Amino acid sequence: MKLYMRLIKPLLIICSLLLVATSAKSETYVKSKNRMMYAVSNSYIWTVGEDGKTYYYDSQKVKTMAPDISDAKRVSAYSNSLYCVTQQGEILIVTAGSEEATHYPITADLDIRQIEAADGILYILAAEQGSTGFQVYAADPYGIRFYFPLSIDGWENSNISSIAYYNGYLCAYSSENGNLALISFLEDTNGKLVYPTVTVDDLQYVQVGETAGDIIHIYALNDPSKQIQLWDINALTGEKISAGLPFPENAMGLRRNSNALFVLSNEGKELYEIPIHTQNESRTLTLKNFIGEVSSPDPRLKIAMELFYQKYPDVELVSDFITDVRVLSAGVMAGAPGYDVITVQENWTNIPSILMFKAGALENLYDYECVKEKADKISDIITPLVIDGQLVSVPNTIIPFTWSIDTELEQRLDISVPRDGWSWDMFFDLAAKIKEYNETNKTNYYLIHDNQDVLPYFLKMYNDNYVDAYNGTAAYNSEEFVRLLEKWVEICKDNLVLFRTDDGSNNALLHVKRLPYEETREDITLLLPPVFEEGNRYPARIASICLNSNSPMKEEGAYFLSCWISEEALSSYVTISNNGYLLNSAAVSSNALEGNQGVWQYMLKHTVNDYYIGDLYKDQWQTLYPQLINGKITPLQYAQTCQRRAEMVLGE
Amino acid sequence: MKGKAADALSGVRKKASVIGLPFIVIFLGIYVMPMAASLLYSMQDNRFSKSFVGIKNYLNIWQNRLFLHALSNTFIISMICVIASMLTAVLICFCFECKGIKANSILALLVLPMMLPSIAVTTIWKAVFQTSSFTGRQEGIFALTLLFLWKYSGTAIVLLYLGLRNIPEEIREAAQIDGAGAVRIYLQISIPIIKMHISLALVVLLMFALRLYKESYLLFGEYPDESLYMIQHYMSNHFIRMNSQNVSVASVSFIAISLTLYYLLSRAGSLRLNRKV
Amino acid sequence: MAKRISRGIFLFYLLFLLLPVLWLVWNSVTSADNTWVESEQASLFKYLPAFTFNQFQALFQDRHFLQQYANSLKISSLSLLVQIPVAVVAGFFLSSWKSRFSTRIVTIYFIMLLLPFQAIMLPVYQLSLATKTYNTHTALILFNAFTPLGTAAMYLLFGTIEKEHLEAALLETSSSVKLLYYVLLPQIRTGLAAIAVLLFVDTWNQVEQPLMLLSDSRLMPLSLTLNDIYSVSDGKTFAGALSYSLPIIILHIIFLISILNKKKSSRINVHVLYNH
Repeated sequence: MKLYMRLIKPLLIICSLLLVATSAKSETYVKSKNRMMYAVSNSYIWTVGEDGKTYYYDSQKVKTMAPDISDAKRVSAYSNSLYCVTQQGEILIVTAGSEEATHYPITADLDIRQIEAADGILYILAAEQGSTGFQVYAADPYGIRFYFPLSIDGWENSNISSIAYYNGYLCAYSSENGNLALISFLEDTNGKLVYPTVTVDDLQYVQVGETAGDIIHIYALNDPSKQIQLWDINALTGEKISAGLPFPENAMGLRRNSNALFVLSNEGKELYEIPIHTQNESRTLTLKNFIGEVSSPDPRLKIAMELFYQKYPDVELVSDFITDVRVLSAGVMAGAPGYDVITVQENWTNIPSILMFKAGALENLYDYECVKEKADKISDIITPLVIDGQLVSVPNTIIPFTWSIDTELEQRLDISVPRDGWSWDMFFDLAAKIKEYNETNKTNYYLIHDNQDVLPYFLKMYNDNYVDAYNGTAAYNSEEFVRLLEKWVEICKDNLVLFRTDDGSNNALLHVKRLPYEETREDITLLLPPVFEEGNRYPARIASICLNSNSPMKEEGAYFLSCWISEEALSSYVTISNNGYLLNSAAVSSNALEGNQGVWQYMLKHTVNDYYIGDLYKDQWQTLYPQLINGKITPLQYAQTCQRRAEMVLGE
Repeated sequence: MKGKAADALSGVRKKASVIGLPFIVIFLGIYVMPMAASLLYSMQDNRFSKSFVGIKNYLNIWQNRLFLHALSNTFIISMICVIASMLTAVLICFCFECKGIKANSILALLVLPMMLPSIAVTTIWKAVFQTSSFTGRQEGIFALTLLFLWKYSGTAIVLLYLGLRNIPEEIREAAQIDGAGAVRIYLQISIPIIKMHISLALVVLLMFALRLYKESYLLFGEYPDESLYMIQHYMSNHFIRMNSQNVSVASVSFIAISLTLYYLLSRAGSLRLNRKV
Repeated sequence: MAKRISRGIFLFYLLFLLLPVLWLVWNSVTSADNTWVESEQASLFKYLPAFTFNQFQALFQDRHFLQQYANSLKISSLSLLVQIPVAVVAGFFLSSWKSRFSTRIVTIYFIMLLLPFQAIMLPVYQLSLATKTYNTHTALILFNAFTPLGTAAMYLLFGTIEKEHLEAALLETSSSVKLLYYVLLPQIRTGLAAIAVLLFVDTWNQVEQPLMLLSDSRLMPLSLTLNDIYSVSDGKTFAGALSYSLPIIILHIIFLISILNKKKSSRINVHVLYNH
């Protein structure tokens, strides 16, 4: 108790200090007890302490712990990764959010003074063992397995003392002769001088600056023989003026992101932030729950990113993942950083896009001319993504649940199965024929093999077509549904349905499969599934990408979506599932059902989103359906219970 | 109070306010300010367009059948749980009073269920009661109340017992000499003395009862039978669906009802929070 | 007779309390194959038990588990360290300050105590983002430190102190610290211990609060893995549940017993004031 009494005062002080510390704005970005190193990318600011403790800070200055890095020698950051050269001669790559660093032993014999990370490349200021002059090399970041000195017309790559890379530009300074060069890698990956080299004396650190009147400037710190100042240098003329930004007295290093310059105090214990007043504050566009990673893009993403960067070179794309639906909801509602563009996978995301849209959380993408123009080109396959005339998301993949038929068995059974335009009644008529055949021939053929999902296709199709989550209605009470459900139960009792198992699939006439386009092989025969009534659509697994209404980067986000469904991106080959089909299928004008591909493309144009609507469907597959098949409840009770549950879930 | 003591008390109060007030201000900042924000959200159409709609949300939601169900269910289920636990606690404490059991040594055992994570515990309940989202009203409430009793009645016992053991033995002895039986002494003398402890136990139990969502979710899912659907289900489901206005309306309504009940009860005098210092 | 009946009732209650715990212990030391837990028709025992400590072994070799355990201990104990003085001082202040305003403040405390966290989840999340404390333990500890439970409970506890005792004490001293420390706290010591346990458990079992205030899995407490509605029961759940609870239970047993076994000091020893 005494202890507590003594603690009250200091605790009070600590609490008030905490409050003050969190509310006061200061130039100091990070203060540390130990010396530290730092690196800056548009996504994160990284600090590596002498003791190995490594942290990164996002655009909202939220601090996160990264794996420890001991004996760091040189560091640099690009996108969401930190690259670090250690005393032991290794390159460590730490990616934000990962639990461990990846190690790459350096094979090259270099004395490395500085590294600057770029997209898949490290620019190294180093001297080969034995030589004295420092040169700029381009190398791979995975252990410097290969490297070569930059060789650019009009620039002498020797005795370089400082380099800096930012947004496709590299500037290099030689304190020996005062040569200052600005090299661009935007058009030519080998690099090209932007302007002829200029001569500026007494500089120590340089950094790529802003563009003023079409002329790129360079920030620089003078050498410590005089009072350190931040200079703004016209890279064309070499004219040097004071940058006019608030600047701490003791400083070294000069790095930047889109918002600010960062310098370290002389003792290396304090990191200062010097805001650059550009048009926008947050310049990171986050792809939330994106399937794939920005750091290692698949061909489609790579093209979309390239298109995006052509228009927004200063915005950085990052991707991350969040699984907890509560955190996702909070982030989207709060408009928190990192919730700009959201990928939804309807079959497992706990909140389907239709409910997000209903809540007002998603933008109508038709409002964005760039998206509308691209979306119109694939308008007939994106119908399931349009709600109430508004485009909720753009497709990532759309894969319908396809039906195929065993034609050999069809002949053996001597029945003819309609290939399209048939109803569930006709389907049940087939059942009678097979039942009869089984009885006379003592065989055990199944009508349908259905193991693609937790609910049979019959119910999935009904759910997807007759539950309207947007308007909050369901139609389980219809007599027609109960009548057909009775028939379904009957064929299940007659052992004509092989459900949720892989055994004996050779004995089934029809097969339900979620077949990607490229697997529409010739040795199977696809057909259109039966329907409840004309106008029914076919259930499909859809992964799509939508735009948060609360995002501060809506224009940029919409532009990314337009790049994502651009012809260039869609026609790129992706190994998991060929996205070209979205474009090709849309291009096929007729509704011809020729061959497997014809059937597949027809289905693609007539899909309905297989939304997972909370407990409504979970109840069906976990409890109600087993009870129905075991005879514990009647089809009528099933329908009534479903209707009651639907009214509860949708009418909440 | 006598003059000198009163002066001393006011001096003490002044000092207490110097350190006490900042704590209360911080509390208001951390807890009440968000509640004020919630009040604002309840009058916006959603968190995205943020347009002010006045009491439209209230009118809509107060007409929602499920919401009204949720309110009354929350009240009923919480009351059942709290009363059942309180009665258990009073009964068990009486057992302690009879001196048949050494209470001190098992007190820690009583709070043990509270520390076990719900996810492991509900597995047992699920197995015994075969609960699902179709569990009906009576079985559902029974399973839930039993779980609540198991988890929290021990805490109530501990709180009551701590009060009881501070009652001087002389009081009971005097009553015994007057010819009162054990039950009468317990109910008419001991219990009234520890009414502050009873209030504390009631408040704590009520708090836990209103947090029964996690257990209910694990037993009956996101959407239980309508008779088991509580205000927390409503809030959680709408939070996930990004309808902050519904969550806010529910919480503001909850506060309004709590305040009304509190006012009515404190007028009736049954739950008045006496201050003696 | 009365003794016998009361013993019987109590034993019955104890059995009710202990059976599920024993079942938990049983499951944590039998075969790790608990896949049936999530099956549609849950049942108590489906397999022949084979005793094993593999589940515990697996847990304590899991760095992630240990890290989260350490986080839980850190968050809960640091929170408690602040919660107690805050609750004592604020509770004392509220109970000694008689005015309409203070009654309203007390009402706010009680209402906030009963309000589900979902009600303020979003604004609290926004507050942490705005104050740049998001994803730090500080945010969580600060949030817990001012929990209405502590202050409200202390307010009620201070109400149990007899008026006469206080008056007698006030005649001897006017130092509020002395009054609080030598007169008031000894009287409510046992109650304070119980509240400390409650506060600790409250923080220990939190799910939504760390979920909203932390984003880094390395900062998360264990309750998020073991106590959340979305956690999945697997072989490790029971062993986890026990490991998660046992040390804390042991701590509390020691704590409670030591408090209770001390000589009762509900009588005020006014003379003690002279010595200080």
